[in-house]
Amino acid sequence: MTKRNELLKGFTDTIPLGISVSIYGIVYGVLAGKAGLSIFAVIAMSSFVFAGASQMAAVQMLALGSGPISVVLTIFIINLRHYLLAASIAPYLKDFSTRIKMVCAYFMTDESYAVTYNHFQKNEPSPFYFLGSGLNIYLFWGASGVLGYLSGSIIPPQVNYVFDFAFAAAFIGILVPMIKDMPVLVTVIASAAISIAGCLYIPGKWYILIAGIGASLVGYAASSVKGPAGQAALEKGEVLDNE
Amino acid sequence: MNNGMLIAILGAAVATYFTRFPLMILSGRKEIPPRLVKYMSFIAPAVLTALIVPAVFAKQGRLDISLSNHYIIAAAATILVSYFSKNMLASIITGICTVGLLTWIF
Repeated sequence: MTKRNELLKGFTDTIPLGISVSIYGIVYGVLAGKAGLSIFAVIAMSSFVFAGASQMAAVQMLALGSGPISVVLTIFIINLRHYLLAASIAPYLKDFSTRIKMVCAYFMTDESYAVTYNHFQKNEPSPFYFLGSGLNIYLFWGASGVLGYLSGSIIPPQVNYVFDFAFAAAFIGILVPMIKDMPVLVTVIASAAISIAGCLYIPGKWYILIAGIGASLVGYAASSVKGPAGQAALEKGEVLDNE
Repeated sequence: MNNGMLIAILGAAVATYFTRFPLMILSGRKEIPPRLVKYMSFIAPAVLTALIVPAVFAKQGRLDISLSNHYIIAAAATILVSYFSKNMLASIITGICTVGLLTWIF
């Protein structure tokens, strides 16, 4: 197949995921508007950062008044998982130029990775397929963010108290399906404790980053604990003493 | 757009690109240690929790655990719907409607 056909195939294969990404995009746009971001900031974030959950986290942190450095560091740790995706797809693209791989990397998301990895199992790997898949998500994500921003602006400010909860509700909707085993549950409980203590006693908004890094360590420790003794210790809530 | 916002967005853009490209161009020459992979899997739930819990329980830097804090009941309803539906949109609608309803009644 030609480069152009590969690009198109990648794009069309990703349409179903693009549509589901749009729902998140609309939520992102509405929340960003409610947080007081300008339309330019909404578009700039989708164009240059281009990472779903981390953009929503950034919007919430900016709304809370977090400093730019803690926002950047928090986004960085949320997006560390990209290393896994890149490491997993790179062997398929080892015969291609660095330049095209640098471009592909910019457009890589969880969704385009999943579609492309699946495609490469049965077809000749091509960076252009990967790029087409990434561009699909890029367009759906960008456009739906703008759509959400514009439709959110018709919500009257009188109901802000109600809509402020939309952030928490959206994050709950993302978080709850992630809790599949005990170590993740332990992480969540640890983060709840650290973040509550942190927001009361640590100046600024650093508690988000501190809870993110610290609770992950607690989760990691919990996942390393083997056997009934460890489980019992966890259930007694020993991990909560950590903070 | 103010300076802080600009720095946040551009900084986040550079930081995010630095999570995307290095292992892409090193193609297979680098293996990520399994312990780091394990650790990384806990980061997203940890950060999300840190964004949710204070937003629900703390108002202006003070803890508010009482029935007059509508966010607590709404959060419980949202968790239930999210657990059974696994659907983000349904969770958001539940959350907003619960807060709206409680505000309207009380």
